[in-house]
Amino acid sequence: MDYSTLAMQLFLTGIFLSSLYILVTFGLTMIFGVMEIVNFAHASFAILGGYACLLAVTSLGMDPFVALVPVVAFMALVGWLTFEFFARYTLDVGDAHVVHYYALLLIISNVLALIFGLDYKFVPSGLGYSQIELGPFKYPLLKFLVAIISLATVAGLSLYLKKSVIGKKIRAVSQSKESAEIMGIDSLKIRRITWIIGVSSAGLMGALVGLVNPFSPYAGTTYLIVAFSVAILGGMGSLFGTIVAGFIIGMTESLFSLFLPSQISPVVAFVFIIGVLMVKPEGLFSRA
Amino acid sequence: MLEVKQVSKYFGGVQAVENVSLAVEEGEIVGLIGPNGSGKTTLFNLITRIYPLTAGDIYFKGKLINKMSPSDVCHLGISRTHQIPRPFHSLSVRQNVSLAYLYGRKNPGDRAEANSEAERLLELVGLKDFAQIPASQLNDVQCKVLELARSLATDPKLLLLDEILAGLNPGELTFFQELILKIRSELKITVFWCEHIMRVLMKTVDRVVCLDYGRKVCEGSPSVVANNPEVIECYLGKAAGE
Amino acid sequence: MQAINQGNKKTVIVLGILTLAALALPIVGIPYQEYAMSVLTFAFIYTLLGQSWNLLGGLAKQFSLGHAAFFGLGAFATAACSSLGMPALISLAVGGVAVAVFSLPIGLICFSARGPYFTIITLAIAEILRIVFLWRPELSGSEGILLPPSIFSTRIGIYYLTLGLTAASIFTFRWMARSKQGLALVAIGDDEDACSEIGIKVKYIKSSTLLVSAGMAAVAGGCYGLFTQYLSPNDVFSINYSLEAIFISTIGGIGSAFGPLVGALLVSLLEETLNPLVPGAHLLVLGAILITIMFLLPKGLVTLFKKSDDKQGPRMQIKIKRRQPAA
Repeated sequence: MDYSTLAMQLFLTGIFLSSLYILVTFGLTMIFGVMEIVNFAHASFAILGGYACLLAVTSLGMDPFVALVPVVAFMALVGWLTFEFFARYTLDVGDAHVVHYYALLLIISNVLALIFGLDYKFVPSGLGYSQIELGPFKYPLLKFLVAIISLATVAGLSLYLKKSVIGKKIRAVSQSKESAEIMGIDSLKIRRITWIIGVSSAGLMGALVGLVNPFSPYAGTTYLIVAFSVAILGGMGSLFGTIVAGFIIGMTESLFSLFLPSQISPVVAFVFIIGVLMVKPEGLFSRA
Repeated sequence: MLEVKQVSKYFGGVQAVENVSLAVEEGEIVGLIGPNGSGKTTLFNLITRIYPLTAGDIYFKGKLINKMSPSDVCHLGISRTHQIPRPFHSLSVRQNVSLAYLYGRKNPGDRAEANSEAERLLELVGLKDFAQIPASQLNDVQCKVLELARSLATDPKLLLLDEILAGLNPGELTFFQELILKIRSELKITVFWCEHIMRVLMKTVDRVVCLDYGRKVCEGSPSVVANNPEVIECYLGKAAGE
Repeated sequence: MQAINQGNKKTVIVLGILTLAALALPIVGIPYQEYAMSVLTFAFIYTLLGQSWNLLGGLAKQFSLGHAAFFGLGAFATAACSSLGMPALISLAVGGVAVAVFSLPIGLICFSARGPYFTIITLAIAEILRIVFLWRPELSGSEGILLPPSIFSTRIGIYYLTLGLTAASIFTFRWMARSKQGLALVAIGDDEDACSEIGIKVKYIKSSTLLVSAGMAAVAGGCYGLFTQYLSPNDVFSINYSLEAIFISTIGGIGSAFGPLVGALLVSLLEETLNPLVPGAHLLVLGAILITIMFLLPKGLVTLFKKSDDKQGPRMQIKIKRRQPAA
């Protein structure tokens, strides 16, 4: 393999990782911005999405990419239920809310463990090892499609936040809940929508990851740390920061995969974020 | 006693404090005035080392304190109150003060001494009857005096007061004014005091420094500063047609 | 005063009876003796872990999500000492001290951040250790390691060991909480900047508390290893231990000395009862119980045992009392 192929390979893998990281962090950072909640259960919603996709493909016999649509719908339902029966009651408990979300994390991951067992599963994509040709370069078609879908989702969500009325209201509440309420915005409704978007985007990310990597009920921890690494690096609550930070961490991890065995590659993101926080405790692009 | 030499502080591109120099001599009560956002609280945060300096030097009793930690600055003898009081809500009123005694002094005594000193200070500020209740149950004014007692417990040589009069009624204003004079005369503590309530401030202080947009506008005795056209301008704006 | 002293006396008597019962349990034959001992042994190990979290999380509100790191390191350090031929007790002590020392650089890293940032760093450190231990066969590898049998791999041995350590941990916590440092920790939990402005060296206080906390968690891990005689990184570094440490302290009563014991008994009882029926079910039930308690009794189960006037009353509004002007 010559150097340009290798460089292209690393670049595409970096894009692939970044796209997933940005997608999972997007919801986390939105929920933090609008609800002031640090959602430690975020990655378990991703894993839930993975299992939902698995069921849709294996039990209902759907095409995995078609299945993403009902998966997102299902996750939106999960988001609505968890908001109405859980999240809305944690809005005014202050810092102690982290314990509520640890409990939610425990419940979701162990319900999954009870139903599906602790074995690693993956969603059969049916694409196998087919490659896509990008000019002189080849790249696995599956990863390429996954990256395209998650980047498109992120772009769509960003556009929605920027242009739509609801998006503007969401941004208003995230800047100041009180002022937004004075302007007649129903902040509870906005928070519900934010929570549902966050949960569904996490579920979508989980389903996409499930197509590429095996997962288990407890695998959320890794994605949780990665998502937080990206969110913190991007300065919790900043969407632009999230995107930049997602690319930084995804690319770095891809680069380090040259020197490190694959099982310890997540360590790169963890060490990276610890280093960043030691130098700049409030993140690189913090709003403050 | 306190020397601030050409100090600047930028937050990103915003100049919060720019090239400010001033000095506070031992035994003085110096007022710090200026419109909202003129950098008064930022200057206090720079002196107590909560924020790092962008440029300049701060000396206290001849020692450069630029690189010291906030706790070292406290041990040197600088203590402060906050615009919005920040007592420790989980502790009792007396514990708030005795904690400051135990950690704020270079050679603190034992717990018993801390408690009796705390009682003494609480009596001074008029909170003696509330010593045992949790600080979370105090009202806003009581929180202010608690914070003042807590600052005094660290045995400061210089006390920084940050808008301690904001939101008080006339009776309470007199109480605080007397208290501040007493702190200087009985406890021999120098006071550097940032305030908006001119009526009380001007009657109490020896000297006033005025900041606007992070820059020092003027400095001098209360009557000189009060009649300085630049000071009037920064509070009231330029007269029309000028 | 009288009432308080009498209350204390009652508490002392009840605790004395409970302690005697706990001491007598292995000797006096009762039905379900083995079951009770095994529930209690794990409850004691969890109490150590919970108490260790409670020191930082309960007093200073530093919500660590990485206590599995110290638990797992303690387990592996004890195992390493044992396989070098040290006696079990010495291995446990060496393990605890080694991990306590190791916590100093960890503290330097963690305590540069606050709030959720602190939490996520602690979580990342535990994950890094898990991944590194899985990766390097000389540390453990995915197969895990075995410990040589010792007096503490017997049911009675480990029972008395953990019982004694639990008592010690409760005394340590009470001593720390009532000390000058305990006061400072509570203040740090309220407002860190205000603490440093009254001369408290916040990082020093936090780090020295982490030292004790890490040592305690390491000893809990060591006991776990000595008893089970088998350690794998996926088990001892798992986020479940970090979560359990939080639950144990929070369910029982955050920042209270006996809270972790109450919480640990509940966790262990659930685990020993439900796990044989449906593996993992106890964690699910635990999560549900925790959410219920957090909503209904934010100060934990120990509030149920306290007199009603100890609970937070309505917010009092008291007017400032002013003396007459002197002149």
